[in-house]
Amino acid sequence: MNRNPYQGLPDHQFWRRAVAGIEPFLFDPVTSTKFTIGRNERVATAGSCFAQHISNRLVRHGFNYYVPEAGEQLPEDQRKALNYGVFSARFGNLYTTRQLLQLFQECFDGRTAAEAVWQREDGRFVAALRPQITPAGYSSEDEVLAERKPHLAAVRRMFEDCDIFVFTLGLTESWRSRLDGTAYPLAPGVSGGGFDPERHEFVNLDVMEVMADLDEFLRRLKGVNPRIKVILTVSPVPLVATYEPRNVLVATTYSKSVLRVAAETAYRKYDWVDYFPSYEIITGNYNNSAYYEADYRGINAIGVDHAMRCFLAHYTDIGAGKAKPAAAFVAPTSNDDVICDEEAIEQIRV
Amino acid sequence: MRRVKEGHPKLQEHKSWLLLFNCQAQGFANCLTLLCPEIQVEYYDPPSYRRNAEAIMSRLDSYDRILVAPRVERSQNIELTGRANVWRVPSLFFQAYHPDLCYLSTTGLLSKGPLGPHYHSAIAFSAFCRGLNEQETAGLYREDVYEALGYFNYWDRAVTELVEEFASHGIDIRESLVNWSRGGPFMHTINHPRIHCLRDVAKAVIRRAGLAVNDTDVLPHDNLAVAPVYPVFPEVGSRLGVRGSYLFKGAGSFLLKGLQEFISASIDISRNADALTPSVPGFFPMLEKTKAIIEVIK
Repeated sequence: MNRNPYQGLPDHQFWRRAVAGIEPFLFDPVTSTKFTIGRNERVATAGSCFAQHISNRLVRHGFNYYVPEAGEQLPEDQRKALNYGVFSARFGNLYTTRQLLQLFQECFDGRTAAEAVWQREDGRFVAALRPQITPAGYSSEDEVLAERKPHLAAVRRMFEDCDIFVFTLGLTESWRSRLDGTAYPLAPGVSGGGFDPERHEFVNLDVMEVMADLDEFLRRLKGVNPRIKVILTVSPVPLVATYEPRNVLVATTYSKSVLRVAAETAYRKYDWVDYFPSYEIITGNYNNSAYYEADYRGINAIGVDHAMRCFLAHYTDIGAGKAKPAAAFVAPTSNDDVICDEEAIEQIRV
Repeated sequence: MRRVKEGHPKLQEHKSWLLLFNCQAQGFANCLTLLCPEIQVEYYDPPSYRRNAEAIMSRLDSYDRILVAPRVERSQNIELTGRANVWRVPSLFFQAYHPDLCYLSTTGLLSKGPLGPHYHSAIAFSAFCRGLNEQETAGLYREDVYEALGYFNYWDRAVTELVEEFASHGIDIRESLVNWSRGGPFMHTINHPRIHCLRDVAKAVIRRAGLAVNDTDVLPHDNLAVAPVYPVFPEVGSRLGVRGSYLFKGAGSFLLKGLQEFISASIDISRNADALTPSVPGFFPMLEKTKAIIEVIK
């Protein structure tokens, strides 16, 4: 028998059939999922910005986006201004797995940061671990610290009570405290505080570090919430800048590769951790960069729509088993009627 | 229409081709010329064919190759039976980007639409028939209405029908169609393709004839872009990977109309027309369905 091992494999395993030979908007890299999302299941989101798209779409389609820190006591405009609901709690962007792990440790181990509060140039104070969450800042350091406690309680509820946790891995480059290793979302001095080489340092997490942080977080999350299921995605947004003395695209490739490997490793290790390939949908060369804005960095609505079509089709009951309304086609045999008359044709003789 | 290149080094090798096509004739002929200088194309669209029919038919034997669009052959009653040098090449018709576009007629003739020639909105016309005012009509251009009308489900069938129609005449355009879908909407309207599509059809025909195709990125001007351009509605576009809008381009002008202005012009036409009807057979089902759904929604 002269069979080769690729004979008989499904279409999605061949580039020509799955990528090159189909219309780009029909590209669907999801071949199976480990679980689906029920209408009543609590879905929490964190990480970089793509997780927000998932929560927005789930809300729009009537799913249960879990927001234990929702600011119900505030009027809607204030809730929006104070970034309530952007993620499941007001932790802001968690770009790195180190930030995610240390947030978990704050909630469950009482971890504290040596430098938790930064002062801005306008004299106001902000939380070093979420410096942009309250745009107006705070009048005192104590006010910042006082808000941390109820916030962490909400985050703890999120970890303990959600059914599905969606996390988007964003960056490997980070700034941290030399005093206790605390990872900041932004470099000191960008949105408060000030860079001090004695107290702060740049770090570009390597693949072993990211894998270790992610693995520790996942194991501990499962420990406090045994029914949890996790969906990992990798942000397709390139680095706005690198601190490495290298070209920013080279640094982006490294960073995203590390994150992709870490996500894949967790996906292969745990049967309750899934990987959703929004990164491939957006960055794949099949779409000729059509899903990026003119700056080749921002993701446009068409790209988000594509990724979310795939997400909803595979993880939810939307589209599955529901009869689609039929298109009222003009039959080709009748197309003799579809003509341009003399006057119309005269206009195009140019 | 006859075009001879004097002094061309390969003049003695010229093949004389006759092209009987629809409104895509000029662009198609330009593409044939661009891609294969050996072909000397004489082209006619239906009105120019009608004016010259007798003369054309009298010299049919003089052409090396006759290309005819089956729809034009039928509608103009062109008798080409038994001629071995006739190739039938379908004109491009593709509804998936513009499922709302339809034709109407009044007193037996195609009715002019708000963009000049015959293009109408099935929703605007159906809403008028059901007594909706301008504001109510504008409110129907939305996602759930499109969903109910099946506007999001045209693609697969449109592709299948186009590919099969070409295949039935010996032309494989599947790969070209995938390429077209990568660069934005490839149709201006349901029967007006962008020029690069005609370039690819021309390429396929030239290759079928065993002639060499010029390797060039040059494209003839897109004369059909002068005609109306119906927008791909954003809700449809987002499902087909293209940017959409509600900006309608009229004939012979580059002044765009917004949805409100387009609806207003549509209603004026419906109001003033002498018995505007969906009497163009192909569009009966979609207009009946649209009216029925609007009746439920309103």
